[in-house]
Amino acid sequence: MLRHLKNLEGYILSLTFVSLALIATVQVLCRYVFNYSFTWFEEGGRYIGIFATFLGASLAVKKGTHFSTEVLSGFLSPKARRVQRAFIGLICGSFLSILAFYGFRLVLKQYGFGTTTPTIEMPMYIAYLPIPVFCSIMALRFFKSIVDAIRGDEPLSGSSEDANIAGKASML
Amino acid sequence: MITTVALGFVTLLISGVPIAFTLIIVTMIGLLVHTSTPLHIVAEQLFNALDNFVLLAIPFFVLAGSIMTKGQISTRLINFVNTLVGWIPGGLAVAGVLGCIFFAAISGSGPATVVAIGSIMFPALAEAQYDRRFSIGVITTAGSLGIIIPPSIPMILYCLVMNTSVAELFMAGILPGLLIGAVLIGYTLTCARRNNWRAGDRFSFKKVVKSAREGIWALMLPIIVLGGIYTGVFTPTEAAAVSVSYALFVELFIYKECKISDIPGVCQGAAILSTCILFLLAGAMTFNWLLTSEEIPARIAQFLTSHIHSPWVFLLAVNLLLLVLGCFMDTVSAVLILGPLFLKALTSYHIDLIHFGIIMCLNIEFGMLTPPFGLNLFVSMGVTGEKLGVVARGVLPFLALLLICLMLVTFIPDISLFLPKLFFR
Repeated sequence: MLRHLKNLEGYILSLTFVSLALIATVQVLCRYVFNYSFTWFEEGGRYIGIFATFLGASLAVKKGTHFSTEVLSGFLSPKARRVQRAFIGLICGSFLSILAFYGFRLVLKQYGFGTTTPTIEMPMYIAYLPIPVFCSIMALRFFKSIVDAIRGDEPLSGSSEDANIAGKASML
Repeated sequence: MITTVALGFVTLLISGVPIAFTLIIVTMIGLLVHTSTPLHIVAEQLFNALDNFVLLAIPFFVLAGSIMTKGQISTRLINFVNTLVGWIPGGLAVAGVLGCIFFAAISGSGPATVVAIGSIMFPALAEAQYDRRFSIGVITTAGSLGIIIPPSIPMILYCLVMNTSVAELFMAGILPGLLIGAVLIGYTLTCARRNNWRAGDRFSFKKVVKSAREGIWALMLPIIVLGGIYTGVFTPTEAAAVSVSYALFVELFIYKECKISDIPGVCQGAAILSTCILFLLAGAMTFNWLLTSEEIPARIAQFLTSHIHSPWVFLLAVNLLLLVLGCFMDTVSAVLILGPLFLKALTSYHIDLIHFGIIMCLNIEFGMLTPPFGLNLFVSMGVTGEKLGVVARGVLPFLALLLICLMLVTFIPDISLFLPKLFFR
């Protein structure tokens, strides 16, 4: 059960992008064949894109796929590298907690305004919701990486170096 | 302000904090220490940066690229170009370059092009007894055309941070891409003559027609994507979406080598990594917002124009700077951070943003072919099973050729600007 739940994020993410692409294609066809365009799609697509970006960014924290410079880690002993990982976790975790807090206040502010988006009339605070939610999850994941570093568990990214490169390969 | 930001940036970057988070954290520190602006502005800026329909083109092109690398489209492309040029001495390698050019016109990614073309071409070149080091070099280098010939993911990123037109920059990439392609083909033919490489089967018109018919679905894709953008049928984002749907349709229902059950696996990695890029972009734009509100680009422009008088010297200096920076971080991130910093300086030097964009892309191409962040090299290692040293040495002579092309493109703006001027201005 937990394992499926773990993969759930990834499934939701890829499904979101693939279905957005399919809807966009249908939209183009409709515009030219039936002369009918979905006005909601551009707006909806943007907000779904924001949601998916934060979802993916938090998944990438878990998988260790965010881009970083690896100038230092090459010179460090395994022990020093654990200190480095704890340091990164502490810095990122604390600042992301702050960001999550302010993101939450932003959501509350939008909730108070009661504004809605122009065409689909979705409450604006829902569009902002991914920021505090996924910043909190990212912060938790970074804090967990401190615990892992102290315990001496290997990070995910180290074991899946090849997958990492293969993944990056398809993107740039 | 500048000292705090620069110090924080370098410290965090070197200690290995991911670049996207470095940018966000430095922005927060800058605001905390030097202004009374409330911090929720950072969350707001991240939101604004991502609140853009053009951004979706990035995950779409990434998805389309990974679907096409897994499927049959690249094989059919290569079969077609090989029947066209295979009969020339050295023709198989020329077909490899042409294949890369074609694939570059349907995918926005350099490494994806190396995977797609390389995984078929490397064994074929080895079988035809081409020099190993040469074949690794030529395909790895030609694969990097993926980001010069439109569509191109780095170009979209550049346009987002510099606020210029994606369609125009795409158009500007065509001639420089073809120039590099022609230089690579010329070099291949010279090597072939010098080493007496053998030719493939004789030219046969029948075979060309047959392979064109088999590859027609793959060959249509560049026409649909680029034609669609330039006739105004759809936006670059929609073009990217259409290429995902088209690639899925062709691989699943026409070539039928892929199964529906393979799709989630193919898509997941691509989806996660494209969100990494989007998040990096959001971080870079938030950071730029801070710098711009402190008028740092204007101060940089003032400093530069009072010390460097010629725009050409400036461009040369930027090229050198990026080559050096490429040893410390990947060039895409470097361009995302540096580009907006130079924005004001570019205006005062009267350098066209589109022209500068192409120069940046060539620099990114260079960065992809040199260690330690050369993604193309790593991918090529993966495909050939060779060590980094072998691949890097194979690429070396081609780097010299690329450097010449970079200088040509830098100092002859019309190579990049001719087509956009013809169609847009």
